[in-house]
Amino acid sequence: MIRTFFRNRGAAAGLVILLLVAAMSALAPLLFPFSPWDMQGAPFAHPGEDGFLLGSDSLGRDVAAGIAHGAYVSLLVGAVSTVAALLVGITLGAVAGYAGGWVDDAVMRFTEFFQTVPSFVLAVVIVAIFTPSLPSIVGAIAVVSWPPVTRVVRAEVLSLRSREFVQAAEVLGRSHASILFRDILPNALSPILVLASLMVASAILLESALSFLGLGDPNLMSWGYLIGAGRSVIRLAWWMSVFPGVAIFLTVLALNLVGEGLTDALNPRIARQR
Amino acid sequence: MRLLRLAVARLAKMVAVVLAIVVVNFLLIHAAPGDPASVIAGQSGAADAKFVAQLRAQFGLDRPLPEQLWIYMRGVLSGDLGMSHRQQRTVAGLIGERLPATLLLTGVAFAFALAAGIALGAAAARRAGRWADSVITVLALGFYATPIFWVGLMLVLVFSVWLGWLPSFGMNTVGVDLHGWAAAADTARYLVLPSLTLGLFYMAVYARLTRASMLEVAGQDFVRTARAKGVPEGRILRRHILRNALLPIVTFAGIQAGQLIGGSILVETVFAWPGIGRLAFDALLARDYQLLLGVFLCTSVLVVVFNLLTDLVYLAIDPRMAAA
Amino acid sequence: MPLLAVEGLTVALPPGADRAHAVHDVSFTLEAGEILCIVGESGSGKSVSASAIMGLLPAALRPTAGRIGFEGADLLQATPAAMRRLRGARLGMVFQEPMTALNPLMRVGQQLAEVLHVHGARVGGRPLELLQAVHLPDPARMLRAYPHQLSGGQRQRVMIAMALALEPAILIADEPTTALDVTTQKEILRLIREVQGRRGTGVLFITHDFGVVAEIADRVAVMQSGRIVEQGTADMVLNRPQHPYTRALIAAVPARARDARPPETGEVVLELDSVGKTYRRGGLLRRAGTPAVVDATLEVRRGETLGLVGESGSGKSTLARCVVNLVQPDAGSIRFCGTDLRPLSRAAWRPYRKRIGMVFQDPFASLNPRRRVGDIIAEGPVAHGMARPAALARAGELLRLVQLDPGAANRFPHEFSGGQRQRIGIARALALEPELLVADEPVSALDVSVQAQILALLEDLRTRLGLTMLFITHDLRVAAQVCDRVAVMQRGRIVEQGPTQAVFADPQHEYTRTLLDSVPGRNWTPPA
Repeated sequence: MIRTFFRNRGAAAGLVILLLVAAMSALAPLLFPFSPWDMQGAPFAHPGEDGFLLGSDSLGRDVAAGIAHGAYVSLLVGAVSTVAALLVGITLGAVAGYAGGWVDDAVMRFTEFFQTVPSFVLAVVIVAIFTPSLPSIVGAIAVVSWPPVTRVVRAEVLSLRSREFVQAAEVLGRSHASILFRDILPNALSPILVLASLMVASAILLESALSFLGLGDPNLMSWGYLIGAGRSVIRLAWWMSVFPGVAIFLTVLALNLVGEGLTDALNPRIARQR
Repeated sequence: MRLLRLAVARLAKMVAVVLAIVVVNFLLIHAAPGDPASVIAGQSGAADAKFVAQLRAQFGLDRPLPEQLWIYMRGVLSGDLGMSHRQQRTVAGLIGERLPATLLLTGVAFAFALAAGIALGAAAARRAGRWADSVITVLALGFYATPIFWVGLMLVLVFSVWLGWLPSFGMNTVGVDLHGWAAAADTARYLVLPSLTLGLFYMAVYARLTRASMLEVAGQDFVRTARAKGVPEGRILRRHILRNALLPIVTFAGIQAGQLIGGSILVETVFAWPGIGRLAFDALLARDYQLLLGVFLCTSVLVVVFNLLTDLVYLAIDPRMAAA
Repeated sequence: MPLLAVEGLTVALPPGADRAHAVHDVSFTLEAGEILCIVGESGSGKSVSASAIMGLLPAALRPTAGRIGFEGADLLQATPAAMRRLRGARLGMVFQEPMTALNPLMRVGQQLAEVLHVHGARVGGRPLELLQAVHLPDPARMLRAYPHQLSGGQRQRVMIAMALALEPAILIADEPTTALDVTTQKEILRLIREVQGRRGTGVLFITHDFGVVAEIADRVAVMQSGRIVEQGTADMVLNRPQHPYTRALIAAVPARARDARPPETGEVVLELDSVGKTYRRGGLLRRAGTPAVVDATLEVRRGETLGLVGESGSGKSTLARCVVNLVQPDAGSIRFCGTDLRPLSRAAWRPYRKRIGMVFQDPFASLNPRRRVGDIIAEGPVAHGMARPAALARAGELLRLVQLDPGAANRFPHEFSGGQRQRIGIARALALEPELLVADEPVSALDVSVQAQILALLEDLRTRLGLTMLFITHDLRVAAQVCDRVAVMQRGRIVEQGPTQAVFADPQHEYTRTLLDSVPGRNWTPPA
């Protein structure tokens, strides 16, 4: 399976990009051993001028440093909120799919409701009301991201539940827990993995959008914030908006490519079985 | 007859959802840290004591919670969404004023995204595996990965700052009094960049979905039957593949429409488009929570309405639904 | 001058497949007015041959040699445009799975009109005539119906009507009745013979069922692994087969007659009394659904095999699932060695899990693809308290019992063939040493030769372990070979039961008679 994944050049490239971004974030304190909030030189320096690799902003802060340090926020928020959303979504989806009946109905009504509400607006409202901070952002993103997980997991569990090997487990007298954890969930893993990579991507987009609107954690510099700061002076300093956006683009693209690679790698195995 | 029953069932569900949203709205106000009255009044500088006291009385904040909920619901259902302290106008009034602009923007963006997305997706599916397919797939992947607000800024940079072809903010030329067609044409010029920005992301989504859906349908048995009948490829594509492939796209597009409205906040902010998205952003800056929650309620209702429309359209175009 | 002359057809498989060619050096002819049956098991290349004639081969399969002569041209050399003109007009094809063969968004009438329209023929009232010709009820209403409103048999009739709309010279039927009930199959076979007789159409009929061959074939070609191993008239191939493979296939056809065994007089192991089950539709609104099982009463004595026979929708699978508590019956009692199992809770059922085992139908879906075979077989004993090492050792013994290598315990299901997986499924069911084995269509998804092996295995195990079996099947031949007593089900009710020989020789109920009449090739006795 791993071999199939790497045969997909896009997916391999995606993985490489992700590793580079992670490396940049980890090495940021070494590459730029100063706070990105500190003034480093003249304001509005063009890229390549005055020792600023990617230029400086309206207060003379280093854009490149901002991007390198900002990677940490994006990756952290992306990962944590996805894990939280997965935990909630998998639990609800598995319970709904396995138990069926009114439990399933109740969970699905609940999930549908959350999907009806426009997720971005809800995220904005939650962060605004609970005052912007890293926990509130992660929480808001997790809250709007779990419904698709529930749907996918429920669909998988439902389809697996009526499969003959699960029925065989019932006839053998195995317990509910044993069937759920040893038969159903391991076989539902593939779509969850694919979904996870796509969720991290959309979490990063969401976080950057929130920061752009000024709802980011005021103590942390993130890519969205950089773009937002550069918006009003775009005619003077285009590099302030362009480069952080490129960073977001590359990271999200990489995650999408990895997700696609996983979809392809995990499917043929099932097809080959027949 | 069955269709009618299904439609009524959906309508009932819609009402239930709207009520639930109102309750959630209410809970959000009370979930915020601190005194709800000051939340409602907004942390907008000096808290006007008289106003806060007025709010307390109006919302009955000393009464038990369920009663407060009832007061709030009653208010909402009669069209009273509260007052925007900052702007000294009713929330409902503000929203009503700005809503058409948002509907225009999202409507045009959605139409563009759907049309372009389906066309590109179909083209990619038709030439699956060849270079045209790769180009379209890469393009779609690219637009899917870019933040909407950044695309907007880049478009402004290119088309407004560097090339000067199109205006970068607002909805129409200021200071000029235009009517009829001239006014429409003027607005259209201002509409181009914002709707393109909002639409490109969803175009990518629909293109990928169309491609996948068409490839899946192309492999189904009834397509083979059509070939065995000697039906030419072009007709197979149009009458057999495309029609069946569009079904999941319709449902998906309907669900996505809600997210489109959310995206309008970002686009309207970037382009200073006078819609409810911009209103929400201003409310955000001013910590005007009444207004913000009013916008939230309004957008949610819009999504519910749109979902209902999508459901009805789907019921109408899929003959199997009538039997289900 | 034959209608169709296939000479030396060779189609290559993509590299990495288990053999080099899908079909190799295949030659046969088809005359006007005759039915040629191509018989073979799965993977024999019969469908590929048919697709090659129609020009519908998937891109991965390329014809590398040979000639297909039809109406003066070589079809393998024809341009795609020329082939398209022939398809539907001169060459008609019907496929195996009727449920997915029609466009769900187009009305039946529109789909019929389409084949006329694309070949430039006048449409007019033709679609109605076509539906009448295939004996569809209420043809005028059918024209406006959507495919999902028709049953499988009805859809297949529409397919035949579409294929014959322009009166082609050849009709290719690729396993058209495999997915249909036996009674429906009989009607479709009769229909094909009728329409063929009317216009002198040559029919190329692909099947895996020798009974069908006996029923309709004029000439037969037997395929194995991409080659034709034997060809001749139906009489010759069926009654005097020459090639060892043909002989083996015919020998594998379950014998109609079974050595009469003395009726078992032991204790009653399983007793069903007025069992009923109705599936409810809708979540909160409890609307009456269709009853799946109604008033089912039967008994199984120790050591005997009772067959539950019926077509799809007869309720036999539901009844089997009631016995193992996969489905909770609404009414009646299910007594196992005297105890009524129906009111028992899930926990109370546990001890009985060791005494009632089940074998499932689909060898590909009945084993967890992510667990090793040894674990799968050891699951049951471990769940009931046996230590893992002991359970795994037992798994090894069981594998030997079902004639598999004990080393298979370390491999995954996807490494085995359908027949082998079914053996693993049987081993799993036997791991708990059950007294009663419920077998739900255990051989229906297997090729005929493998089927015979599994049936022999089950027979062997039964005598060796003294098993009592409840055997569910739709195939009367299998029932005749395997079951001591048989219960015939129709629409949820047991219409007749008794010793197999007696019921099949002298059926009392009308439905049983219809069922027996529909068995294809019932008048043919495979040579010993």
